[in-house]
Amino acid sequence: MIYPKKNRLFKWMVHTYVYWLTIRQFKEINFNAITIDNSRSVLLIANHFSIWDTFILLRVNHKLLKKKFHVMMLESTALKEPFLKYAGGFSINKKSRDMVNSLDFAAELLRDPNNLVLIFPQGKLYSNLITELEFEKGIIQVIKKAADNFQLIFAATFMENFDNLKPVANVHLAAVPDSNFNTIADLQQAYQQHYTNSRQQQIQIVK
Amino acid sequence: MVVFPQGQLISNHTTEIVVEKGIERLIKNIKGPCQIVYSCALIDYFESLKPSVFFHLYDCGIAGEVSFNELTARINDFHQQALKDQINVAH
Repeated sequence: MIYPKKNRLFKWMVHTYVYWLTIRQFKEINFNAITIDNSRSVLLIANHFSIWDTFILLRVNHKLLKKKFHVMMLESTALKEPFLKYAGGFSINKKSRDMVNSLDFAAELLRDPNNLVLIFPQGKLYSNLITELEFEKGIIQVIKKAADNFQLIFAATFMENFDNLKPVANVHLAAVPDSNFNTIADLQQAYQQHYTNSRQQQIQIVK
Repeated sequence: MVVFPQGQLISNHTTEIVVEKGIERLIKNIKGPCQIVYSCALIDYFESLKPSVFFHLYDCGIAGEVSFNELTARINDFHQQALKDQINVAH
């Protein structure tokens, strides 16, 4: 397992690089305001369609959530993008027993109210245009192990161009009042509802 | 000739294509043989920072042989299929 590495200079460099990259490549990154509970950590669950989603949510965290950013990513991605470990990236290998350590590590991070852990429960990249999502079950272990120490937030990100050459990213956020999900099916259903509602809002935009 | 029959910019995430009436008038006035092709362009990123555009093309039939309602139905059926195919698109 690859753990996040602390290095203030590298962390600053990664954040500056992501800031520069998003400013350069996007017309806008839009998100709605939600109430953050400062006494608890944040478990952020999001749809996974690109490496952009991590960068976009890193910026949303910087602007709105203001927690110590951590992201669970596939070991293959962590090896391909080694700089992400300086921005809180840690790996998971779905085909190894080491997977339990990654899930435990995520739950442990959530015990600190200053932390945010971003997880993509789809487990791999899917199109940004899908209507139905399917979650892998690992995340439920994180939720059970972290108990009530965290605030659960759903994020659904959609990319559009419309009349711009540069894309606009719209991040639909929702704070989930009750995070006591016992099964992956219950969690998936709750997220799906948020995703479908967000998608409907996205479709309403006409230029 | 390229025509965007929606008449305005609509989200890339839409599942329904509203075809405006103008295309009906245009098709009626075509004198020679003309094939109508629906091009569904879907943008995705996957592993890349740069976007990829995937064109899903469909032969809607020959102008004069397909009614407006049938054309709208064919476009929408194909659009739904293109969105489904996009899930398994090679990237």
